[in-house]
Amino acid sequence: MTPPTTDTAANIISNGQYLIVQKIDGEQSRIIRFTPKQKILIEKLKFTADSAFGKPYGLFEISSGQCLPMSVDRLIEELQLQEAAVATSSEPAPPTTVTSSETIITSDDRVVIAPSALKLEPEQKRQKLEMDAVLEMRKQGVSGQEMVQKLVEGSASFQTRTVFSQSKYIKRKAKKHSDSENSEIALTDLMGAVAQSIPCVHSMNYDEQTLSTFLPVRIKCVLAEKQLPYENNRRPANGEAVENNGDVEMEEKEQNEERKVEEQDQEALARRNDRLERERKGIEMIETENAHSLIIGSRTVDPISVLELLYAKLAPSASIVIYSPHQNMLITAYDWLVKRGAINLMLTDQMCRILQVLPDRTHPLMAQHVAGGHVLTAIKVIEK
Amino acid sequence: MTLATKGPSFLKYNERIEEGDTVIVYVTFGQMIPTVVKRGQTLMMKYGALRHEFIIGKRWGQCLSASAGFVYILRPTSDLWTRSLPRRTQILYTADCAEIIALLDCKPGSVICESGTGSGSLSHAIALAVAPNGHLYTHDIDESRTKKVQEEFKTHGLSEITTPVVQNVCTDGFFVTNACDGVFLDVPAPWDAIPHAARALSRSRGGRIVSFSPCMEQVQRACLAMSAAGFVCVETIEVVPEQKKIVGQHRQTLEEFEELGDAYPKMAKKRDSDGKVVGFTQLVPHANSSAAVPEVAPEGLIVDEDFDRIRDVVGPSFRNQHDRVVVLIP
Repeated sequence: MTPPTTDTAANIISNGQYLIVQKIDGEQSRIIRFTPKQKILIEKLKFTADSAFGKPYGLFEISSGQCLPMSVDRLIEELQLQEAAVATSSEPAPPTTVTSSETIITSDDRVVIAPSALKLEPEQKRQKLEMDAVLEMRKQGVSGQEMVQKLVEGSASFQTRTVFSQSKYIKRKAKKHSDSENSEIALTDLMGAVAQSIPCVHSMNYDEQTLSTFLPVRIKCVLAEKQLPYENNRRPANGEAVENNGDVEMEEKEQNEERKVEEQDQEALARRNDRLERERKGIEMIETENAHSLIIGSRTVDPISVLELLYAKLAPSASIVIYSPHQNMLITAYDWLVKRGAINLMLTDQMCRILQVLPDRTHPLMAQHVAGGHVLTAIKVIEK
Repeated sequence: MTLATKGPSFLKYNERIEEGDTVIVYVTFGQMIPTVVKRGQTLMMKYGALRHEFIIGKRWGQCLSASAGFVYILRPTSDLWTRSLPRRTQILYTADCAEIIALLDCKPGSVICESGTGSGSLSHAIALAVAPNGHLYTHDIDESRTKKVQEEFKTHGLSEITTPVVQNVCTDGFFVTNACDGVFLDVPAPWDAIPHAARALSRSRGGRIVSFSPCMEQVQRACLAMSAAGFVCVETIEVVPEQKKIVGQHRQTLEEFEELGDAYPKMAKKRDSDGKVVGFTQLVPHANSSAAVPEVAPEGLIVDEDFDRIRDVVGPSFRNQHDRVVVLIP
């Protein structure tokens, strides 16, 4: 049950980390920063962040507000139990058909299209158990499993449902009536996620190695080119940009003030210096024609305004990738690049859709966005 | 963490080309030739001969003149490699490779298992994604293919981060157990390989599995096998990349058409200083030839002030990459 003790520190959830939380078979996945005493709520599932600290990423079981690591073997066992439950509850009185249920499709049950779906009856008639009775049972403290069993018995349409529909029904009812017992969530490390903006890179808890690959450069610095607006440092304490007119005295004053305050500010200062150092490296890299690729992704910024600043500074044979939700922006960028002799120009877009995969019921999920935008790529070369 | 600066490599970022480097010789949009630069050798292609001596010492991205035309010499990337590699099997193209790498959560340091190796298109993409301290174990049942890919890895400076293995993952499982962060399957019966894949993944870190199948029936069985093996968040996606063709659109008024007929694309309008159309200029060098658009199109569109054009994008585009660039005549 307990995971092996070979976990390295990098795999352990710790205070202040950003994690992706997703309920198994849930619809949403969220990025949440785990801080002490924090209550985490996802799709009706509640647990305290503290209970996750010190445990490796992965699958968790939520039980009375606590999350406990769950092994895959347990998950498989449960899955099999669930399937068994469907198999037995779907069988009508004669138990002799159990063995053949897999291979032989009898006329009554396991039809391809559930007749219940075709019969449009009001919901009340389908379920013998009245709402009041359900509430009463809840008050009496009837366990979730029993409740689901009762609901299955009371359901008029259950027997005519297909196997998948039955398991879906049980799952849905179990979800509704079992509070937070036995619901699994997956906690995943955020490392692989795309950094969405520069501040985001800083606030995420990337480990040393990953962080060292990021050289965030503020747009301000790129626009100012060589005159680095280092004076306009961002104060990490409140996250607001503080203008101090480049006055050295003020800078010192500010630093003195910071020294007085807690260690936390010291840490923040160290972080800021580290960030500025990496920014300096980043700018240096841009200036020395050392960048081997340029990726532009923006909804509103005209890629040409970025290209005008940075194209000349790219190393020859560098790749340029521009994303835009709109084609026309990319077509003007295409012209711009063609004029400068870029080669291997390609404008692509991609349809990516999620499919529901079930035997006899495979189809693309309804109401999903399949359009993601367009990508223009090119390679810079030394002009003839 | 530092990238290798010595030895032939896809990971090297020197300014100039050295002997032993793999160079992508860009002839036209549809024709790219990967070449290992070696003194004394000559590359023969559409634009004639190019002696390797001329390549050595040149900067990456430079334009070189061959005996009958110009070519560019490019730094190899996984995308360029995918488009130019010697094909021994069907290959995965960049759009799929990118999706697979994202789904596998490949990053520097990841340990990934792959089956089958095929021509090594995805293998190169994964290897470059997990470099410099990750590792790729790539499995295939065909020994000759595996040998070829192994040689390529060596030439490209990727041999330290890759291990090609001849092994049937459906029956014999993977080369590693309880070790990797991600498994990619492109096999005819993924459901047989999935339980093995579950064993190959690290038990403490967990990991991801991605299976690529052309048939929906394979996907269905793979999904069931994944759930049975204890994988969660099983999702099926379909990726349809589309390449767009950018063309110049000729637009004329009804009056112009009546007077001059369809001038596209052999003629361009000639305007006086007021912008009034006064006549036409010949655009195609060989006006007698029946082909209006030259067979070998130069890259991109040439913007001609005298020629009314509105950029238009038409799709879906052409599978055949030779069809991609349509150009209106110099």
